[in-house]
Amino acid sequence: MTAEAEKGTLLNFKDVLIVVDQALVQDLLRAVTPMDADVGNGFHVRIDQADTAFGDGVALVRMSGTARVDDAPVGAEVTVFGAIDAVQIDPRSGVLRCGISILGVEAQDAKALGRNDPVGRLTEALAHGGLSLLLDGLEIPVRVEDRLSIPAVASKRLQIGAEDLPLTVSAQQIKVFGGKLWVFIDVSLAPHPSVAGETS
Amino acid sequence: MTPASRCAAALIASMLAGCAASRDRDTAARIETLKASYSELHQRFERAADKEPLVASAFADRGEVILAIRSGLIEELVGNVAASYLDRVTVDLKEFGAHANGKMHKKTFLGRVTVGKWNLSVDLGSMAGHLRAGQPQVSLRPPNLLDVDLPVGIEEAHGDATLHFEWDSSGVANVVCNDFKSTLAIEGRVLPQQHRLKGAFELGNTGESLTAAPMFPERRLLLRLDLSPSSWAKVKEALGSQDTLGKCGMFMDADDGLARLRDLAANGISVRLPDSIFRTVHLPARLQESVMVNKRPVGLGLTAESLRIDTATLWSSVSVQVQTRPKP
Repeated sequence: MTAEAEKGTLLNFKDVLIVVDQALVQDLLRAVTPMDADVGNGFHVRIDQADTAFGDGVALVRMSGTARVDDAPVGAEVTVFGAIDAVQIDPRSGVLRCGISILGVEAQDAKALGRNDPVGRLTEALAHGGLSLLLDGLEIPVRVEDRLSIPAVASKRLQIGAEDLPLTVSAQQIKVFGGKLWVFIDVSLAPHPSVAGETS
Repeated sequence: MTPASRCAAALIASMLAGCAASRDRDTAARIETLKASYSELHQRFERAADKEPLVASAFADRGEVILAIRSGLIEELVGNVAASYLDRVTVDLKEFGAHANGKMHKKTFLGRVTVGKWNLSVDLGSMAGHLRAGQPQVSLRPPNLLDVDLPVGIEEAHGDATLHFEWDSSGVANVVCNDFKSTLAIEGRVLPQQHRLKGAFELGNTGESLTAAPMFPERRLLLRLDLSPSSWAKVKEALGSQDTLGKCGMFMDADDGLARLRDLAANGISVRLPDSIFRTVHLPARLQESVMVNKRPVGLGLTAESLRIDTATLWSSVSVQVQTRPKP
């Protein structure tokens, strides 16, 4: 990214660029806290707080809460570090969906989670499906449609059916800097069968 | 992952490892090396990014979500919309007609006197204009307009029409010349022709979507017509039948009447395209008033912040307020 910036091609998007502020993603995550789930390897995690920091290529998502083993009465305060590493366009709705991967886990009192590298086991559990049990889906409130719709006309003198210009859309890449997530979208007009209209 | 992001991720991972395990000397040294590398890359990146006009543009607007669309894409999309308004559209001409009227003067021994008034009209019956849109020229114009120059072809078409001719004698002619009305069924022809329709789209930001609202104040097309040779002959015969002394022959000239009709057809009849044919469209990137996060719907308040054309790009921004619910 530094090399691209030095070449002046940091934002060489072709068609559409969607820029999302870290504060919005943080607010979205906070809106659904607390989150809790059995994340695997016998761990139960409850997230009470979420923060985001988007910079230098990493869309960092920091989720804080507690983890405990099975039905243990006492747990440990944990912070789960994740990163938005992909953004895809949902093929049905066109809404942008974030993919989040695990960077690591920090525990204040790891001993409360058992023996034999409990933090490592918790990290492994989250990385192997546990995170999606804890946070199942994160949408960005932007919809990229696969058509441009021209509405119908239905008046006394004029009847024209609605028409769609089909589009091919795809999320090409993301970049992260300056507190923002930058999503590059390619959009192209697809060939379509023509529809006749009539007016009087 | 880019080198900078790898470095940042590695730094986070190493720091995590440092917190979880005992801080031995190697780990500390590795962290210091990573920090130095990260700091150097970060500074280089910041310096370079600050110089990029597109980055400056993106940071110029308020709002949590910014949409940037390249001029080329907007011009292509809106150009296709404009063309679709008029491509393969059939204009039924039955409610349209051509009209002309005038007074006829003659020099007499009393001087120049009005000998009568004539009125000519053509009802276009089953005639129709078949429109074909060409490739439009579209260009973004700051602050928020897209200029459109759309070629519109009209295909040749035949149909039935009715010609009405009225002669109303006046003054001295009234004494010797009767009024008359004539109605003729004729066959008309819409001539193949090319027109250009110029207008613009006004781009708007509603918060939820970007709109392109058409502005085509001049929506008139002059449709040039002709009659079939047999119909011209019919008209000539009808006018000629009045060109006798007992009727209006001493004042009227059938050839002159025919010439006026030819002028009328050649000049074209004015067809005003209905306003409703030009429809507002929404560009295909929109904001959502709710999203699903962790399988729960989260409502959002959207407020449009800005819309501008800059660096060959349409920039728009929206403030998004997450509507929080009471925590359980």
